[in-house]
Amino acid sequence: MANPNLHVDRDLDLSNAGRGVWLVKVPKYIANKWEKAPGNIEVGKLKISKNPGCKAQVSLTLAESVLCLKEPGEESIPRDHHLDVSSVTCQTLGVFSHITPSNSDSVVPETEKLSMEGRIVQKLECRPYADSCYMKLKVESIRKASVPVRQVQQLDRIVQNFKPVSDHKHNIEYEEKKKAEGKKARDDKDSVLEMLFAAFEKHQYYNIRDLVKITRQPIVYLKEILKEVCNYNLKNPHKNMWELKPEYRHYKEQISDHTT
Amino acid sequence: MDLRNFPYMAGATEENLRNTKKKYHVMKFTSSVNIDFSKWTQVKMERENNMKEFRGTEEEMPKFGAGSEFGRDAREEARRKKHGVVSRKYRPEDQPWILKVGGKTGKKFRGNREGGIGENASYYVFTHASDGAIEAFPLQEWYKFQPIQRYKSLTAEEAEEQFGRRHKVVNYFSLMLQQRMRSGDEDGDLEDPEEGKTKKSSAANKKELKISDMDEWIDSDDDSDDSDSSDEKKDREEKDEKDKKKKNKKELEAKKKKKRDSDDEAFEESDDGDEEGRELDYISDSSESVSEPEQVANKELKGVAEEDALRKLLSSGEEDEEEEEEKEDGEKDSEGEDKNGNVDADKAGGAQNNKEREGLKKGSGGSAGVGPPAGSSSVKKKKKKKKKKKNDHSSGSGNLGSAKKGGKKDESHDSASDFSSDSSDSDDTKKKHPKDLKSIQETNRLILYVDNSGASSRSGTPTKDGLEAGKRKLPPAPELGTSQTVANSKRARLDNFSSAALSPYYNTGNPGSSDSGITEDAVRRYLMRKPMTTTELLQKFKSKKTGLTSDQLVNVMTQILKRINPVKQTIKGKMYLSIKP
Repeated sequence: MANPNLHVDRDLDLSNAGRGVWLVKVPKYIANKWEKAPGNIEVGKLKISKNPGCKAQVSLTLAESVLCLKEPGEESIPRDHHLDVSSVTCQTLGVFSHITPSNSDSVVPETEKLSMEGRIVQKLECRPYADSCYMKLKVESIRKASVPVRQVQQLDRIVQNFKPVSDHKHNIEYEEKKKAEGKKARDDKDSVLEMLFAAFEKHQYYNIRDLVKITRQPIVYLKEILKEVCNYNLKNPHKNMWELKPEYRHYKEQISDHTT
Repeated sequence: MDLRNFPYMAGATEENLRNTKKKYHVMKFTSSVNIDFSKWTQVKMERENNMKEFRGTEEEMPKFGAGSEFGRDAREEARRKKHGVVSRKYRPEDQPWILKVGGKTGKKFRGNREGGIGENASYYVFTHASDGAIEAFPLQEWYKFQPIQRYKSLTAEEAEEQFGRRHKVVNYFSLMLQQRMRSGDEDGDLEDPEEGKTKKSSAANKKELKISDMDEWIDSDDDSDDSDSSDEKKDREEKDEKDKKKKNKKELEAKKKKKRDSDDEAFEESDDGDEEGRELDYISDSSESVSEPEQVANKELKGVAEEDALRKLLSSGEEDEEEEEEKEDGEKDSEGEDKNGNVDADKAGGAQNNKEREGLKKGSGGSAGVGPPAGSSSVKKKKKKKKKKKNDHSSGSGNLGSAKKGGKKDESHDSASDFSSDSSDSDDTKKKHPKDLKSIQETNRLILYVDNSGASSRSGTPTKDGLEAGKRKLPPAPELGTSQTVANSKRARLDNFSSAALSPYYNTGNPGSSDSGITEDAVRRYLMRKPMTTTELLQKFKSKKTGLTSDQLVNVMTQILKRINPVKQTIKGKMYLSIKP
């Protein structure tokens, strides 16, 4: 199917397996900003203050450049956040990265690569301080959420989307095409047989309609010929299909011909 | 306050990374699987191939050539569309991960994607970059990795079956041993406690217990003889002594119980859990675990496959027949004395032997509840006693017995040893015992009877027997003869007291017509039924308590036989008399 090589197992690059990483839960609004941040820029500052006898306190200050990345009409987001530190319990969490080739037609074909990025040693939860800026943001988001998605509109005139059609367009086309072809003429029997054998070389079973299409013969005439060289299947694996009589077929060679 | 400025955080999203689509995912393990990433070696990951499941049951058709249909795929597609099935494309990147740790033989995990985590918040992973900055990467997916089981679990039916066997665990040790020792062809024997239970309860016949048990215990007895382990014997005899004492105690208890038991007879069904405690008692009480391996080993030496299988075939069928006959006899035949109606002429080792056998059966049946060695050795003793008795008797009676004495002894031993090798049935019943409360009760009572008879034969206390007999509704008066005749008669009686059949003397023979109790009629009847030797015949009548001395008995018998003039045929060196009806 699409990508059979996806089912080939790949080695996991373990060079970073022993390293400890932080898992940080971040509000959506920060994540949105960071998503938009172009390139390899500084997006914020981490401040870790250690009090003896106390837990370490971690705070995050977003960079100005990130804060400025806003579309018109968007609320500004709070600048300072503190991070709650907690440890991972009852679970072993690891992070691995997966590189998929973006486009296979590039000059140097990138290969899929899997690498271990480390073990999560700490969970941090990014929380805004409840200042006015954050409250404004919240108010705005609540207002947005409360706006109903569907609204009632009053229409001043009747809307008619369609009209009844007496003869559809493709029907007319089909008729014209048929007329142009004219009646199917009875061909020479040998040439019809020739066509039939050629068709049966490719497949073993044919429906009568398909054969009509292939040979372009009148159905009555075609049936006459088929009765001579073919059997009609009445039972189910290939119901209502024609196949060559055993004396006419030699599929074993045919298959080998096709494969070679 | 120690304020430490951390280096700037580097940009979370790098343009070049985005292009190559480097995606970060979380792999989640439960802590119970004890994952340590740093110890991993040779780890491989792949997407699970679910192509087959996706394709479904569609059979593979050749695309061209023989067997192919023209335009089949298109037609199938059209047909599906008509039925409203929207075909989805198989996306290998949506399949779960398969993680292999430690090469081929290592662990395997399947990682299923978990949804809903990133709905209201985003997760980032912060790592230290090489230049000291902290890099943030967004996490895309969460995969929960679970170990893949490499063993097959039981289906519902199999689990049910195993659950049904949970009580067998108690006997597991001996079971395993037996299974190992056997060549595995007799597996069928090991697993029908249910069957046995139903059989027993339906028949409610004590003999069924005895028969199978006896075989085994004779077997063990015989084996020990063969193996010449005299030490073993001594041990057994010691144990025997102990057990006898035990039995005597039990006797008393059981006597008290007996009247109550008659009511309890109806309380037949036992639930699964009923005798669990008992089962344990049974095991711990008896020295079975000691004796059994020996037995099995001996059996093995003997060549289990040929002999045992044959024996089993022969004797099991025979016994069944006997039992059936017995039942019938008990019902319709008033005299019903001839319990041991042995159909097989070859096997007809004589009524005496049969009785002896049954006596042994009883002994073993009873002792099975208490202790195998006791049973076996008591059986042994009884056998000896019997022989002695026989000798006494024949010497006393003189003319008839002396000629056959030697042969008889041999024969009795032969018959015992014949049966000894038949042990397959006994295994069954042993296992049945603990299962069935009823059977345990019965064995207790059996112990009682056997013991009484044994005791009487040993110590000669007719009063006890009289009591017993009274309970059994047997006429007590004639039992108060010599202790030996009492014992003998009892033994004969024991066979058939369940059917409550009385001797022909009491039922048919008119006491007025012949004071000896031996009538021509009775003799005819016996001879008509099956061929008998003269000693067997005498034994029959001796047990009827005719009140004659053995000399007189023999005289009367010879006269009667002269009158009847039965057909004589010699089988295995012994003369059998019979009458053609």
